[in-house]
Amino acid sequence: MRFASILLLAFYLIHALTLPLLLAGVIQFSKSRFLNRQGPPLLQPFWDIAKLFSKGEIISETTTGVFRLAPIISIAVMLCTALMIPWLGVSAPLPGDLFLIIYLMAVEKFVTQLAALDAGSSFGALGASRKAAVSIAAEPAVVIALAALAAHAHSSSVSLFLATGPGSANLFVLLLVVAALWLAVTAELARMPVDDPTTHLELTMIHEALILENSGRNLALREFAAAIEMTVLFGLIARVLLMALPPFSPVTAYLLSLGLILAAGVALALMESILVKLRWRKIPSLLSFALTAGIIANLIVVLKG
Amino acid sequence: MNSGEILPQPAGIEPVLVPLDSLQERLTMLLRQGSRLGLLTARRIPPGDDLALVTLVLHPANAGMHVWETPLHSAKSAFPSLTPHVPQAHWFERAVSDFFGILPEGHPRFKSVILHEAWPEGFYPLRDAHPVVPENAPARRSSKFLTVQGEGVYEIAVGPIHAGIIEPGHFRFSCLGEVIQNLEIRLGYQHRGIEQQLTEVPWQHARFLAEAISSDSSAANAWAHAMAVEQLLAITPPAAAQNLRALSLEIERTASHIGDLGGICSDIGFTAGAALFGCLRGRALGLGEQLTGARLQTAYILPGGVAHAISLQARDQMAASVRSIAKEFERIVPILMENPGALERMEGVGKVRPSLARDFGMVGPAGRASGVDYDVRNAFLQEPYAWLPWEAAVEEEGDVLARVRIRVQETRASLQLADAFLKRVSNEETVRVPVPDKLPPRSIGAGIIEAWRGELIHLVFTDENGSISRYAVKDPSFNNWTGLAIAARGQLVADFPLCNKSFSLSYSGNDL
Repeated sequence: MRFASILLLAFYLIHALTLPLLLAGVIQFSKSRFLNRQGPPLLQPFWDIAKLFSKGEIISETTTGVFRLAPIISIAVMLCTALMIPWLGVSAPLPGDLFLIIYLMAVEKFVTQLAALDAGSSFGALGASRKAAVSIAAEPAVVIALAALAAHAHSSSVSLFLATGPGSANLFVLLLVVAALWLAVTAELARMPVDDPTTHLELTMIHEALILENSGRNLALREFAAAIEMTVLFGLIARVLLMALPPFSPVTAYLLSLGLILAAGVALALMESILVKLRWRKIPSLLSFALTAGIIANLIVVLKG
Repeated sequence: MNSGEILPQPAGIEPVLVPLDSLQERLTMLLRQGSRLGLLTARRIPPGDDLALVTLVLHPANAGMHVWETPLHSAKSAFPSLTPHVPQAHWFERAVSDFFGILPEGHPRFKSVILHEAWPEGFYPLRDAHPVVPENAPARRSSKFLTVQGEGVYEIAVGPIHAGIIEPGHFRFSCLGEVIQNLEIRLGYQHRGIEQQLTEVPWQHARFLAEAISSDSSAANAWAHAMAVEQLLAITPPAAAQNLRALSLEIERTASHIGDLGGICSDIGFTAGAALFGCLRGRALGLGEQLTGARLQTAYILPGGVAHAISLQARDQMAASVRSIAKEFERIVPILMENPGALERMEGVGKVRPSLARDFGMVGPAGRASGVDYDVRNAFLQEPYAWLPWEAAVEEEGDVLARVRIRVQETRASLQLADAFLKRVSNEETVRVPVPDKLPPRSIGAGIIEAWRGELIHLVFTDENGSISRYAVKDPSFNNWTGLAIAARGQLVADFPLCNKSFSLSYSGNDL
């Protein structure tokens, strides 16, 4: 029993450390292909991270310990949530609670924004305030969508409300949750149509403005944390989709999860190729769709008892 | 032997002496009658080498122009500012004070425009033949930004070093939340003394320097330079050369406009559009390579004509590529112009009212998007445009969308013009007339061209030995930077890059 749980922990950790970079590679590669370009090799993000880790850093004179500590907190939070959410199709190694996970992620956002303010550049402050504004709209959408599942399972424990098999919420609820999560998660991850991750225009940035002052190891940790967050959240969406299907064997469920995570990456790449970035003032309207879908899912769950 | 007819032409323009006390009155009167302030600068005039203001007044109504010279009192290096009556003069007067140390008294927003803080105080590069830095002068100039005060107002400073590989410029935004209250633009980081150098190199080599004023407008600059020199020399290039020059200019316009449409796409995060337009821009540049041997069309247009003709075979190949580019352009334009998301980003953003556009003398696509119906090709009935049935596109809205629409219509028109010019190319034509060795003394030559950004002016003065004593350049961006500052007001910070791209101004052309 003890051995099995250690094995599960190792299994999740290995995936949390490798899959995110592969997903980033898949997104880069498919985006290039959608645009008729050759694109970098699939494993390029691994080399990029390795390069960043070996580089020196330039740190603004105004910074305090917060700036150095923030990326470490980010990566720690992301690894914790990666061990609490069953994003690989099989049950998670650590017990987790919906609100614990949401607030852990809120802590991560908080320290990231503090670190951005710490560097003293106006872009950091600009990015921090934008990130906060987007989160104010996106976070409730994530919570409310997942709360529909929690309400159905009468528990906020992740292992219970994300359990597959008989007794999971009906298909319509699951689809609403998936739609709400997709909209809110892409916004939280600062991807299109809310933020353009490839832009070099400082004035339009959200996420990139936050990390503009980071370099070398600090930047590597930031990029890594963002990649883990994306992979885990995509895995969460994949998990909700799997709940709509009849239960699979653990191996099939794992393979399906992997496939869905990478497919989500391809879908994101397609979106980022053909969508136009929203005007800043239109972002709340987009996220209100996510919120509405989550609320409808809750209503259905509550009304059906 | 020579198929182009040589028309007798007076050698250069005869300057008109306008005394300082009647300058403002005469200028405002002419502007009311529909004339344009083409250029305002200064130079030393004989005898005595006293400083004089030089005003180029353009009369688009009858395709004419005048050069006014206004001697200044040698004891005083100041003059009453024209800006309160002629708003367009504000940027010119700042440049005059930067280069010559002549102070425009009563200028409402006086600051330097080219020489930034890293230049020493009291250094005026064009004031004397060999400018010196005064002793004990502060090593750095003082610089002041218009500051906006009030609760919650903060400043964002961008540049001169940017995250992308773009030209340097410093933008100081005063913002309230996400809304820009005021934008101050600080340029000059590309200043490399072009005007001074143009007087120092042998005039036969000056064309290479003129092309480098703004390398994305090398055909336009080379033509403006050639036009000014030809006016000095009183020679007329053959009609076949004029035809090839216009072809080169329209290829440059096509490539730049298509490139900018791609830039608009990437600034709104629309990567598919950026990729498509970027690819097409490459093909348009390829046309330039077929014509001139260089994608940016350098060393082609020269005083007296063009460097070489093209073969009939090359002509047919080019005509085929022009048609295929036009077809591809029509295929991809709806991807941007009928895209609801893209339209929403562009519509109503970065408006410049027509009255302001006229007051500040905006030119080119940015001016025409704000209802300024002025295109040098039409206004000055230039060969070979004069005989072609075509019209410049004009919009009234003055927002990003209007500027983008103008670009689309101009690209179409340019491709049609290029096709028409190619049809006129025939075999065995002389494309170059011999050029005299010496420039005439004490003459003035002016070259005026509709570059892809708008009205481009080269004004050349020779001294008593026939060498160039003053070479003034007015890039279209010089008129339009103020337009960008106006357009940014009240806009979202995140929309500024889009606004900026819709103007697509030149830093190097402004900084000289």
